Amino acid sequence: MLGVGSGDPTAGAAEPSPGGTAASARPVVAADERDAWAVLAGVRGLGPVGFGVLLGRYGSGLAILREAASPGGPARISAVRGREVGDERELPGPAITDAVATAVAIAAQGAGPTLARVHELGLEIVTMEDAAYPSRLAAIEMPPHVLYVLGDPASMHALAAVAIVGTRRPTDAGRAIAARIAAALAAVGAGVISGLAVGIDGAAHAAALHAKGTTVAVIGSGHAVVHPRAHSRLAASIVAAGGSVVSELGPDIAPSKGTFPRRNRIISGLADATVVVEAPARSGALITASWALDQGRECFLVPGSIDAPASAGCLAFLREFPHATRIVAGIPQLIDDLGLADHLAEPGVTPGAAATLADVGAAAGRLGRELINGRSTVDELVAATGWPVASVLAGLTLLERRGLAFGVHGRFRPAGGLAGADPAKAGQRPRVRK
Amino acid sequence: MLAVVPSATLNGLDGRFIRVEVDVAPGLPGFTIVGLADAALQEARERVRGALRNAGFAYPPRRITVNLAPADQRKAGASLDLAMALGILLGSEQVIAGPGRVALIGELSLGGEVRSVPGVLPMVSVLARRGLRRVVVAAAAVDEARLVEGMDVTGVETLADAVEVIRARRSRRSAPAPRRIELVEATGTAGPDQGPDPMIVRSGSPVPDLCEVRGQLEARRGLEIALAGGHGLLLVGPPGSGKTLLARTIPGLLPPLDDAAALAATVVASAAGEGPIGELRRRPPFRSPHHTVSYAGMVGGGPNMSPGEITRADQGVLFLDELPEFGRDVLEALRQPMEEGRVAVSRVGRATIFPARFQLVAAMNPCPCGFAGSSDRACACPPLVPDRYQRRVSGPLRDRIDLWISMPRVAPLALVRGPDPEGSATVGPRIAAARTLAGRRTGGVLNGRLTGRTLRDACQLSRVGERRVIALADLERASGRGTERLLRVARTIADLAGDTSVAETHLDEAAWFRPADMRLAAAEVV
Repeated sequence: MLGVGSGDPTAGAAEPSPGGTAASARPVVAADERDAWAVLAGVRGLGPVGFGVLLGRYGSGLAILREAASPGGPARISAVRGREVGDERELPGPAITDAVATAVAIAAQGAGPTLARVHELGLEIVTMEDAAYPSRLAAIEMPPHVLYVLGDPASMHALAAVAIVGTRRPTDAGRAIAARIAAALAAVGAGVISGLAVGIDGAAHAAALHAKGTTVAVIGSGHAVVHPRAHSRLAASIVAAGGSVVSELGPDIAPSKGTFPRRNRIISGLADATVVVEAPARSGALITASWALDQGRECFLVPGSIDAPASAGCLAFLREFPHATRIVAGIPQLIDDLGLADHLAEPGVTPGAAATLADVGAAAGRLGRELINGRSTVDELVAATGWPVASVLAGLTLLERRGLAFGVHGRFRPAGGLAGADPAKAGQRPRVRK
Repeated sequence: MLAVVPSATLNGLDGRFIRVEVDVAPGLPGFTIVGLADAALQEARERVRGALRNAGFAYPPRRITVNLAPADQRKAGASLDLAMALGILLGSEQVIAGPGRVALIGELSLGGEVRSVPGVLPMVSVLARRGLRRVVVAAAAVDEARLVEGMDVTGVETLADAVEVIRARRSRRSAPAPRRIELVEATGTAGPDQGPDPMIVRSGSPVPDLCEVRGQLEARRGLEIALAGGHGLLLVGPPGSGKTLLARTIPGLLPPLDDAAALAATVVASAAGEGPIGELRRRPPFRSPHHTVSYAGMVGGGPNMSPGEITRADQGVLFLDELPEFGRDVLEALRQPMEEGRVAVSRVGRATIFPARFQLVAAMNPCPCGFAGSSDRACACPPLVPDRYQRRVSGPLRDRIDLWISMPRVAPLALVRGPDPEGSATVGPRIAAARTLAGRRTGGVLNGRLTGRTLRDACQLSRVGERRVIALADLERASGRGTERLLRVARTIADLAGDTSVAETHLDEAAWFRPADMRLAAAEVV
């Protein structure tokens, strides 16, 4: 890896170089400042705080790399003390641990494969100083200095963007709500941000795709170790549809306990508002909701039954922050509250779903409608249609073959183009009499 | 003096004719058994000696040698006790036999009572094949022995009774058996006009009626298809969804066994020692071994070469509840029997072929905690664990399971309200009719056993049907096995509908019952 980019002696000439003369003599992995940032952001353990402290001390990414690669560099780097912004006092502890300083040095000497991997995986590097860096994210506290983006970075610049998050183990009802919200957002042209996890996240991404919307998945690991593997196809579809998969972590950094909560600030930061659909107590989705409040973004929660474990976290959050949070009282209402109502299509079976249902023939279409209306087992479908069980099974197979129904364990739900369809009773918008 | 008494032992499911030769000669008193007798047979010396003494006969203080011919085959069990005791009495001239040959089968107690042994039916039938016409068995086994055509069977309670029979050579019970059957030439060609007498369709344990299974329309339909075509079946559902109840209705849904099958089933029951057997077993056997069953318990074998569960389920149903909990080697061992309908069990010096034409019905929970997919109770398993659990049904077995059925828990409302579902009396005849239709086409082979060319010929697919098969292959991940499974099941669905050729709706419905992991593979986005 040595010599991937040779150190340009003039590149950092204007920067102070406290490391002394040794720095300019050694080759550095990064050719320019953007690459230097990419290398540094890819160092395991160097987060936005440490990065910021080092930038404050050395002035540029290239300078940091030169210093780290010089003899004795790691020791000097780990001795750097951070300063509060606008304050000349040093922070009490070291900003960079010895281990991280060593890792920076290794990366600086070219042993870290970050840049090659970035190119290999076809990632784009978007740094905080680029025009492609999403403005919503730049406005948060501790924005990531570098985003590794698979797909089109422009997908993060939608005029309106809403995050949809929730538990990895939703009920079928919760999954349907996430899909319907995502489909409705896509229909009004808003971007859908989520975390690519199984459950609510996956339902939101998938429904946005089916509604021809753009969606951005922020992952809590490097791109080479996308988690969960079950969603690798979903990730590819997101990119193919003009969306993007985004991470602040280097390509080979595996997910760990801390990466997901940290990632959540990017989910909420990329969005104007965050919607939590089903979160049990102590759900990670509530961390995203907290970040949204911290970042001054709107935070919506879908309330549930007070006895439903899957909604316990949502209700607790609503109770804790009654004035800062908002309730999702219905999907048209949510679109209203988000200020996106101008473009909203009529509620009920959305035009896309209606066309899909007409396309599969009368029998399968009827079954699809019943699935949308919440019938989920064969018994319920037979009771609703009055058809013989053989006809129901044959019709459901047709829906499954078209990807319009999905289910295991004997319980089925609308999928694909039907997942985001609203049930017949959803059109009501009750008003409170004053 | 030498006495020769015909008798028989059991070897696997077959009776084996044994000549018991008893020589009572002068010399040092002793009792020797020669002729490859196993431990239980060697112990017969003590039983015979005690029985003779306690029944009031003299145990001759002479040199007694018992030879069991043919000498080169291993013999096991206690069925020769009675013949040996009579041989000693005849050899020591305490009893003088009347004319004619009489075979004796029975175990002796020390007090001189005659006990029944497992396998009387196959043993008596081998005697009949050897041309014997009279046999003495324990009183409890008389009905069983009389199942053999042309045998004059006498039941005895004690050794003294047996001596009377031998002396008098007069049948103490001369009433003819109510129903007899020719054992040797049994074939499956019984026409519909000479159908089995419904009076003798009886079974040990009560079989629940299908109308007791409420809701579960998918599972009821799948069961009907599986039984009509003899397809392997897997029920997936949480505890309490009714998997076991549904499986237990099967014996009442299957048509009664024809003569040949009933005889085979009765022979197995006899050899397995399933208590007194009064008549032919017309009801297909239903075996549900616990998941801790051992390899030998499942396949057969053990010291006495006993038939295993798969053989005891011959002509009937083998129900494996909690399928993933069974030992891997036990499940692997099902491969050969399911392919060939029989299993070869080899031990040192002995090899037996047991029949194993069973239909596999299995049940499992959807996930380790059992509640995935339940609406009323949350699954406690981590995400994706339920999916992996479903994949635990491994290779050889999954290829033999044609119908995979989900059984979600039934809402309580459906349990108390709603129309009464169809009972066994309605569904059973439909199954029988479909089997008849299929049997006429393929000469008695059930659809579940069709493969390759015969399967394609049986389906008579139209062009449209062929295109539908190709379209549905996506759901089966385009595997050859998946397509065959689809055609087999569709063929049976068409049989149930009374159609000669397989139509698209039959194929659509058949595809519904594909393996669960095929559904899992259909991810949320393509």
